[in-house]
Amino acid sequence: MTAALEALGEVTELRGAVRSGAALPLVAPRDEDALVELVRRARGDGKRVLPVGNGTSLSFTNLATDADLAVTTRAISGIVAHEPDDGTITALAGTPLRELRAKALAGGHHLSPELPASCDATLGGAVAAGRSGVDRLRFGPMRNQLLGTRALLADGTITKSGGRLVKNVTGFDLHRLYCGSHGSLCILLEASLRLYPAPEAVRHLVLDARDVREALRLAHEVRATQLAPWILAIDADGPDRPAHLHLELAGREAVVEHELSTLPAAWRAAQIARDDAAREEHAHYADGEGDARRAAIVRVASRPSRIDEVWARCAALLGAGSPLHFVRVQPALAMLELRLDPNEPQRVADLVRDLRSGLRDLGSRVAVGGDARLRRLTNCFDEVGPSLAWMRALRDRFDPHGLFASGRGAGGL
Amino acid sequence: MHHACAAELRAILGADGLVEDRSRRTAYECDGLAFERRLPDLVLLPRDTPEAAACMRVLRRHGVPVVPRGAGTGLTGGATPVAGGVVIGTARMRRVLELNVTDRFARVESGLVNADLTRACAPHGLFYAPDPSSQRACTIGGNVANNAGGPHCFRYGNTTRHVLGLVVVTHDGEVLDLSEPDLDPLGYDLVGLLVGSEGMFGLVTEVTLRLTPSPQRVETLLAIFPSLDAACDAVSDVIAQRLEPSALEILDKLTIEAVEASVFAAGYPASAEAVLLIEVEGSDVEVEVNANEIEAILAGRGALELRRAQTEAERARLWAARKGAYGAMGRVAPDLYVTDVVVPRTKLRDLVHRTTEICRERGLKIANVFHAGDGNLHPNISYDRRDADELARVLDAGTRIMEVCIAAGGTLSGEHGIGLEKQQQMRLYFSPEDLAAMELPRHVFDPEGRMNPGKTLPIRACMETRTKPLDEVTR
Ligand SMILES: Cc1cc2nc3c(=O)[nH]c(=O)nc-3n(C[C@H](O)[C@H](O)[C@H](O)COP(=O)(O)OP(=O)(O)OC[C@H]3O[C@@H](n4cnc5c(N)ncnc54)[C@H](O)[C@@H]3O)c2cc1C
Repeated sequence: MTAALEALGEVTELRGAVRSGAALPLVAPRDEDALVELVRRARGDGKRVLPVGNGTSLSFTNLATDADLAVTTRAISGIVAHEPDDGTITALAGTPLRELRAKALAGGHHLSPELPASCDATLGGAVAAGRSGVDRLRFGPMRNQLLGTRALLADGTITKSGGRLVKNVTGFDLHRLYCGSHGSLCILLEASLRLYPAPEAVRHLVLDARDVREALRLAHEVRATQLAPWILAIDADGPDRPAHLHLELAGREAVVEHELSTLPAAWRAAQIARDDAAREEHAHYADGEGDARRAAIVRVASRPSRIDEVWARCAALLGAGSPLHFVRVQPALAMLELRLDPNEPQRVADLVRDLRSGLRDLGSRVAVGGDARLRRLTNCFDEVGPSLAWMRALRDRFDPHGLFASGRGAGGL
Repeated sequence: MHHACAAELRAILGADGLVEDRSRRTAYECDGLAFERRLPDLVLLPRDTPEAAACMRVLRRHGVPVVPRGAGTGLTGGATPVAGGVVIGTARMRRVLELNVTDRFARVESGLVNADLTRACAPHGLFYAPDPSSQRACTIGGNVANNAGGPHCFRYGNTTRHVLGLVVVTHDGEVLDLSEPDLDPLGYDLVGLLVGSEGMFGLVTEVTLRLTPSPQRVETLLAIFPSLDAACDAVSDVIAQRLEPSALEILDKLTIEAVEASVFAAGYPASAEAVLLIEVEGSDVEVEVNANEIEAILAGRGALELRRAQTEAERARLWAARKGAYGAMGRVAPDLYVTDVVVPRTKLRDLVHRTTEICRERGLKIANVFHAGDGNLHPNISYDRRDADELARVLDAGTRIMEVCIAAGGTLSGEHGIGLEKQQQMRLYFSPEDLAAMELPRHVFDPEGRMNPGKTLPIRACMETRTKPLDEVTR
């Protein structure tokens, strides 16, 4: 089999993706035709295919129930159309997001989602995982940037949804369905994104606070103003540790300078980095102070009005001697990220269980990511509820013979 | 309609929840696409989700087609009951169920009129961003079904960006509750798929919507141009310069004349060949910086005059005139065919030019009033539907406009949806495989083909409910 696969593209190995623990052959078809051929053969042979981009989001999904081979689109790469004066970009699925960002920036645009510079995510992978970036507060989630896709369905057809223009309501928004479907409905081949004007000036402010609680109070003051920051986030090493409140303003020079002057009084004590220095601070912030890639990560989402209470309960559950080494709270998004010791998977899994039950009455969502040890012990997602039946029906319609590996997404999708 | 079915529905809704009388039912035989009509067998007006669900269960048992309807302001025949059956109107479901100021969202019933939502949240310094020109009449449910846009969607995006959750009554009467305003969907993004599904995936009864903080300051600029071409070029320049106004709207000469002769008159100069209505918002500094740069571009493109609205009343008048433009066109001819296509913003001038030519070649009167910032053209053709020959020319021009725009990299609709009007033209934009993929969710949400049948997806052979494509209606 390997020789037949190698004729279609490079074959390596993917570990830590399926429940059995088996290593899967990972094929990187050299082009779209090779991918179509690969999928056709897998269908004919009754094999289950696990689609991946560059695998950077795998640790945030459950281990797949089963698969015979993994397919990556990373070799199917390249920018198809960049229209700076129309503010759009279209690229093949394997194109590194980093490359797209650089291209967009050369045209005077910012590309969202902004993932850390060290992240090797591909466009297709980021769309399939529904990944949002550090710029989410300003530009919203990935699904808001997505104008359209081309995708390979399980029956071997290549289909388009949406388009390349910034405004378009032609046909059903299948691309919205594919975004965040973790490769369970199709293999994405191409995606188009809207672009935003790149900021002329950037100011990155850091204000020290006694602890996360105090930082939350300061952050709420900012949210109550007319400002539309790019970043408003609190970083700390633990519940009772000093916290740093990050605020980033970006846009036209005169506008951000004016915005600085309107900040609440407490910000007079903040350190302010301007332009190049601010961009450096920004990159540092985006890459995370703790090493996000090696940590076990727990994400809690709630509503802004409940974030103080969510944090208070998290802090209480974490307790003394917890495996936490870093926390980031984004109050305006009501998002909280705990980075924990990856070598304590059982304690992390217990914490996740406690958070899920302890925050249920606040309507919070708890997601978890980490290595295979942790993902064997816990579900990466909350229970879906009654709408799961509709999701399953959709999956069965799109992939009636179960060609694409399932089990990675919420609800075992 | 079978007596037993009507009786069951009456038992659920009470006599005033049913429109049975033939003359009253005629109000539901079409939407804004006036030349395609069919009388519904019955109209149902549930008061809430449980009533709607109970009705849907009865209708399923009797195998009756269902057409959801908001205010009927749609322009593509989306709410027209072409296959007969029942229209379910949301006119009695207009409550704001929850207004959460801190978390900036509202939960509303789907029959709420768009403008009433902004009215409800304005005292709290918030507004609902999508603002179709029909916002004083159209409903949130209709906006969701069509993924409606509006002038300010240039900055804020169409409806889909603002929908956080939905309650949908499915074809079999199940209540699918997706109303929680979660940050990300858990599992598949059903809400994203349902928005824009044109009433074919279920009846939306409640909607959770994101509210936006009202800007500190808003400035409305009016630029008067000696030609439509120059106005289009100015818009392309503003986009290419990466400037960020919140709205960029063009009105051409015929539109200005109609508006100025109507109750919406706002002082648009009748001598202008085109005007560009621009809105800039933000802090004082942001408004000034943006407005000054935009004004420089407008002047560079030969604007004859630049004005800034001096008072809130003047600003409101300029917008009322823009939003009343379709109504004002009633002076030109009894009927108006509003086309809706999107083109790359780099090609605005050429395509506006070309669409105008297409109408002139067919001896038709065309007026342009459109969301220029998004490249969303609305060539509006005035006609008299009683004149069969003129109607045929109108439809021919509509098709040609779509063909030309698609050939230039454009698309069929930016906000009005497909409905009946563009059903066949879907084949210009999508391949048979693309369309087959769209059938997949349709079969899941409507396995019996009873939800708004005969819309959006092109009719295949004689399997479906509509008997004739639109352009044959007039023959
Ligand atoms: C003067 C004028 C100006 C306009 N300007 C704009 C504009 O700027 N931008 C824009 O986008 N549109 C515009 N429109 C078009 C129209 O107003 C929009 O499409 C609007 O969203 C339709 O809302 P409605 O309540 O009237 O829906 P209807 O016309 O009643 O229905 C529209 C579609 O939605 C479905 N539907 C309605 N309610 C529900 C529900 N509760 N659940 C499921 N499906 C439902 C119907 O079946 C139909 O397919 C304009 C129309 C007019 C007449």
